[in-house]
Formats: sequence, C-alpha cells, structure tokens
Amino acid sequence: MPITAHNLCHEYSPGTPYAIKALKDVSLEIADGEIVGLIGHTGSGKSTLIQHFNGLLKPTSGWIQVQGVNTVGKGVNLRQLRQKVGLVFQYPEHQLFEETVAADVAFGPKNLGLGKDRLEQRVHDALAAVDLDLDEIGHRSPFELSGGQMRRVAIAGVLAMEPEILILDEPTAGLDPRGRNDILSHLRRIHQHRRLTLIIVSHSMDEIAAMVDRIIVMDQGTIHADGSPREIFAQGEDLRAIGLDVPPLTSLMLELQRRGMSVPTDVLTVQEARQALLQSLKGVDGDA
Amino acid sequence: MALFEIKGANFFYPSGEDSEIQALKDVSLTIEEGEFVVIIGHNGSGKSTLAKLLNGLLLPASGQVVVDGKNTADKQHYWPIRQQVGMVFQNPDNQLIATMVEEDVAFGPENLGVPTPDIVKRVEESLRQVDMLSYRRHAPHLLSGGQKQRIAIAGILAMRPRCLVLDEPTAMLDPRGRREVLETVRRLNREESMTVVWITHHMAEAVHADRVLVMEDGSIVMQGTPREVFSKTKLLQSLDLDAPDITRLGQMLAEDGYAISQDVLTVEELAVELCR
Repeated sequence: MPITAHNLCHEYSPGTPYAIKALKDVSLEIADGEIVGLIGHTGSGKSTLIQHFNGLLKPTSGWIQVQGVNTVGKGVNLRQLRQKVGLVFQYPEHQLFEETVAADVAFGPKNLGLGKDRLEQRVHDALAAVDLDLDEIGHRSPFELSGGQMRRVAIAGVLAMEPEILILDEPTAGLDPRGRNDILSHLRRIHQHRRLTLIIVSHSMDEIAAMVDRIIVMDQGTIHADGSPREIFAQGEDLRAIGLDVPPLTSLMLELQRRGMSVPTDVLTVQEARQALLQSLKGVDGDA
Repeated sequence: MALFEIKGANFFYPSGEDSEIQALKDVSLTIEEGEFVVIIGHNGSGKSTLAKLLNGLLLPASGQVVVDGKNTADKQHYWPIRQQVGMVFQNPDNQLIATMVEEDVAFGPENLGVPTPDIVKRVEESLRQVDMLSYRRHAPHLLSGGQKQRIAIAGILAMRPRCLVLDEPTAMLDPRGRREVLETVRRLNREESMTVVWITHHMAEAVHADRVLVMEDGSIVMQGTPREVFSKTKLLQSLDLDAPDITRLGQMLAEDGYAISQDVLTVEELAVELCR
C-alpha cells in the first residue's frame, strides 16, 4: 500500500487555549495507481491530512506509512519521502520565482544532482505533460504567462521530481472554465502515462466525479464517507447536511424522489440523467 | 434613469516593447439603476477591464464612460464617482487593512471626512447589512473567506455607494462562503435597490441576475436574461462555456419528445415540469 493511515490524530497548538483537533482517528488505505478525490468543507481536515502524506505534519497520535516509510519513525528520511510524494499547494503559481520557465521547473530536480542532459529531459517531459513546449516558452519569464499557464508551470515543477504520488490541493481554484478543463484533462493524462497515484483535493464534487475512482468525504476531522463517486452521490441528502454542495443533477433526482417519482440518485453526467429519466418516464406511461 | 452609459469604449494594454493588446473593442453598454448584471467570460475576455472603467480606475482610449451623468474622464468627477461605485476584488486578504473589523469598515468614511458620530452609525448599519454586526470587535484575519468578503463589502457600503462592482468575489471561497456572499449581495439588490455588477466564472451565480453579459475577446458577444442566454447552449459551447446542467438536461429531454421548455434554469422548475 502506498499510503496506510491508522488512527491518525492531529491537534494544532496542543495544550493551549487555541488547541484544535483537526484529525480524529483517521484510518485509510490508498492503493497504487488509484485516483482519489478528497472532498470536504473548509476546516474539515483535508489539508491537514494531505500534509501528513509527505511528512510536513506528523501525527499527534496514531501513525501513517507512505511508500513504506513510517513518518513517525526515528531517523526517518523525510527528504527521500518528499521526492516520492509531490504536493501541489493551492495557488501554486504564487511559488514561481525563477527568471525563466525552464529554470523554475528545473529547480527541484537540479537539487537531486542530475546530469545536464537528464535534467533537461525531465524539464522537457514535465512541461510536455501539461501541454507546454520547452523550446517555445522555456526561456520566457513565468510572470508573463496567463494564470492558467502559470499554474501548469508550477505543476510541471512538481512533476519534474517524478513523484510516485501526486497530490494537488484545489488545482482548479480561481481558474476560468477553459483553464479548469485544461488542468483536469492534463491530470487525467498524466495519471495514465506515468501510472502514479493521484490525489485531488476539491470543494466541488461535480468537477472531479467523472475522473476519480474513489471519493473520500471529510467532515470535522473524520472520514464521513468513502466510496465510488456513484456511491457517494447516492447519499446526496447526507452530503447537504454536512454543508457540501450537492451537484444540481443529484439535487434534481432527490427532488423528483420527494415528489414520488422512482429515479436513481447516483447519476454523474447529464447523459446518465437523461437515460434514467427516459426510463422512469416510460415506466409511468406504461402504467397509465 | 441609466446609472452607467458606456459608448464605443476601446482600451489597450501595452504588451512588450512596442506592441499592445486590445482589451476592449468598441464596447457600448447601458446599466440601469437597481439592475443586477452578471458578466461571464474567460480570462482575458475583457471583464475586469470593463469593471475598472465603471469607476474610472481605467479610462477608455476612445469612447466614453458616463456614470450618473458624469464623464469618468473629467478630473473633477474622480472622487464623487469612486464614492458612488464601490469595487470588491477577488482576494479578501488584499482588501482588509485594520486589526479590528469595525475599524476596517470605518476606513472609507473616515477618508471622506464624515463626522465621527456619523461614522459610528454608518459602520453599525453597514455591518448589519452584511449580517456581521456581532463580529465588529473581531480581528479580520481570523474570519473565514466568506466573512472577510462580507467585511470588504461593508467597508464599501459605509461610503454609501449607489453601485457595487464585484470582480470574481467568490473565486477564492469555498461553497459555503460563496453562498454567503452571493446571498448578501442579492439581498442588498432586492431590498435596497443597490445596483450590482457581478463578474464570475460560475454559471450558477448568474441564474438570478436581471441580465447576463457574455464577453469574449474584448466584446460583449451575448446578452439577455439568464433564460435567454443559457437556452443558447450551442452558442455557449462554441465559446467553451457550459450552460447549467439542468438547462442542458431539459433540452435533451425536449429533443426526446417531452414537453420541457428550452429555458429551464433551476432544479425546482425542471422537477415541476417533469412531474406534470
């Protein structure tokens, strides 16, 4: 298992009046190559959890093992762990700092002591993975690029480390619809080609439902639900109760059920909703 | 009477040494007092540039922008216009300056030279309007994103503007914060007839507008009621924008022969039509 957590607890500012229990007894396993969506409200513990995945935070109690490394162990090599686990923070473009795109993407792998050719290959491949061309924009300042492009450069900087696990915190926040679709389709392709484990943190179930295998819903520091997107969507009412946005199609199905129609609530796309409704409406006609 | 009249506005940004990018191309637009207008469009479509023309932060290279009868290019109107047209931006952290909520809200009227007793009254009123009065002595940086945006809005209300221009005010907020801010602004529009110009990437926020403008490449390419705009799903798709799922589903079912109107917008409307 690339990630195994057992009764993981994390408390901020323990022993002070400001103490907050951000994670309470979280146990989970994430398998090799999975695409997982981590959903939850602000303050639900999502960000605290992902910072445990590369040892930025350590558990107050319980333990977590990532790629065979137990982060609470004595003399644990966090540097090595962080090479394997790439973490892309919210608004990663704020972390761009180099004079050129190529230098910015090369910054991480350069510290690994790679030779010039291998380094350049990595920068090229990482940019290509987010559909940017090294020859075309490598020499440009990252600050001349559009918001969506800057974000892709920042993601390329993490990809250039060739992580085995890639974690992104709200990768589409603040982008326009075109930028959102771009990022998500690049992530899908990166997952296919590099066969890495992908974890996407999001507020919006809608957005990631179509691309993830599994959704973990966090609420108040615990895992509230864990299953396939279909299983999670079927519990629409329950999600609304913990303050999450229920996708409009799920809302529609819930409303129709309330009005006495027999329809499924686990639809993910407009097409699926259409099929489900056609079936249900035909049934009604047949009865009449 | 029209609050804003924009006629043939063009605007250029410098790009590199000697070239420029045309951000607005011959834009004409009238916004009535009390209207709730939503502007959607991709990055670089000219939305923010248009917003900044509305209170004279930017002046058009040609054409004119008239606010309540005053031309923004006329220097003597700078301050009256900026007091009347308040702007709220994307990042709440960049807009709050004081260490206590009520001091932050008082900043605007203080600069207008409002007498102290009136400032106190205005601060209280503005915080009540955004439902944040009980937080008056809190530190802004400890509030949630949605609460911070509402404080930023209160700071503008304290200047007694006639119009709020909000440039992606929800882009950095979570779903709950987004709802809080949208509901606050809708209430100001409904109950106090505040004119609102709301810029967003989220189609769902446009559903309750009086009018939706779609911008692309420096021009207004579509406009109308949300129903009129969102029912043109093909045109929206050609602009890489999606009509709301509910509208698309309604149209598909209509194609399948069910009597669903082309312009259903909300879950309730579609549910009612389906259960008929």
